[in-house]
Amino acid sequence: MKLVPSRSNLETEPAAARQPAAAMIEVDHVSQVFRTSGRQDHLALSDISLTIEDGAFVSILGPSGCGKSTLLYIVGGFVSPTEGVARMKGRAITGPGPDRGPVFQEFALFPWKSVLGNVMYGPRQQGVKSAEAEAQSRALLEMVGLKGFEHFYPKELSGGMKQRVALARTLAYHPAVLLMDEPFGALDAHTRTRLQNDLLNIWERDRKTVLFVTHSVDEAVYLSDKVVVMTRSPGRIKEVVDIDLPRPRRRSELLLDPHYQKYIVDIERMIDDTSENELRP
Amino acid sequence: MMSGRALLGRLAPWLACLGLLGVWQVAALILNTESFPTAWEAVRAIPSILGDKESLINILASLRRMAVGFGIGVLVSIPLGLMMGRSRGVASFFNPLLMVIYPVPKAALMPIIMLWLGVGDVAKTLVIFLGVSLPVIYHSFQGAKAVEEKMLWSGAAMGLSAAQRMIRIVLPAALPEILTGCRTGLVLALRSP
Repeated sequence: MKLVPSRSNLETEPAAARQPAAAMIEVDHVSQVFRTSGRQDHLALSDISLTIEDGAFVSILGPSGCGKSTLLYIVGGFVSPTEGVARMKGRAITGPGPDRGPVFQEFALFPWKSVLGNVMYGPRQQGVKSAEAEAQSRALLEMVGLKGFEHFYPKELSGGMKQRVALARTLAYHPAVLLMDEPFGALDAHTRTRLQNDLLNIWERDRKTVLFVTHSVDEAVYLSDKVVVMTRSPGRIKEVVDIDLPRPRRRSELLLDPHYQKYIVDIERMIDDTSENELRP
Repeated sequence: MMSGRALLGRLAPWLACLGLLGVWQVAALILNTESFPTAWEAVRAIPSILGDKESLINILASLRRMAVGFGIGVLVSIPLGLMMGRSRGVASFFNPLLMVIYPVPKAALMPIIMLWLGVGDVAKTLVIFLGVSLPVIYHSFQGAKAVEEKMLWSGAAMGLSAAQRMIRIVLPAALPEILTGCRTGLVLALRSP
């Protein structure tokens, strides 16, 4: 669907003109049923099909309980779909692997390891020599703005800093795909904005494929090439919206950009529609 | 310079000991019977007990049984508890067994164990082992169960196998809880014969 006039006449590089890359992730008719004792089985995802291209930043947007995180867990290989299959570079996903790096809302840092120890964990597991892993990890920590905190422990850090460590820890083992599960959901608005900006800056450097789960419309539009709007239980894809805004994006410029505003209004309307549908018997 | 509050914190355990001895002393003086010596008499007897070879050997033998029972108990219980915490199958197999054994005072098992194994060190060590094991299993179980799933997923994404996740994530994450179990177990080991 076309939401806004094409911007291809602008000199800045539009998303569509970037290299038409191969499919990195394919979700093929995936359904997920959670069996609950006593109550009725819960259909969390219903017949989801989705293709994510190499190097794309794709957000999955939906109300809580729409199964958007479950979809990310299936791509991560942490959860097996009841029906259908998810593929990475054409091969069926059967379990977690270092080619797909998760960043969770809960940070999930190892509390018995220092900040540096957390970031070095992945490379060390991959067989990288200690000195080399340390050098890489220190560089990554500097990149996420945590230089000087190498020897702190997770419990000594604020939420925003913890999430920076978690991001560095995942980037450290060079996954081809970043799987971000509402990574900024637990942070205050100010910290959230700063992390969004930093994530975009980091992403601009190597354009990894990112699958980003969020319930925030403006976060999804600000960050993504593509926003997948989902409906609530059972989780279905309502619409896939291409966000044709130039990069690199600056929040201060975007906020004044009518195209950006229009995306947000349109997507919010879609979500309202789905909520109203739910209320009908 | 220590603040008054900190100083009081330091002294509190000693004050408690002195208080206990004081109550003992007063109670013994009031009751004034042959079978209840005063605290002062008891404290005075310590050097002669420790100086006596026979009782020293007995004390050391008790300590050795305690150490062996505690050591074996911990070595068996931690892996079992961790596996129960991470596998519903293992948990539902062992849980009923443990629920039956847990409330039984281990001293009550003494007669049966003595019938089987005699009154030697093996029987006594076994009782200590049983006493230590249950709290350690229980706390390891709870600790392992409480490990955040996302932490294990993060490990899995880094390429850790199931066994590596158990040793390198579940064990350190559950360690505070395991140590609580060990402390309870140690108290029980001291209390056992």
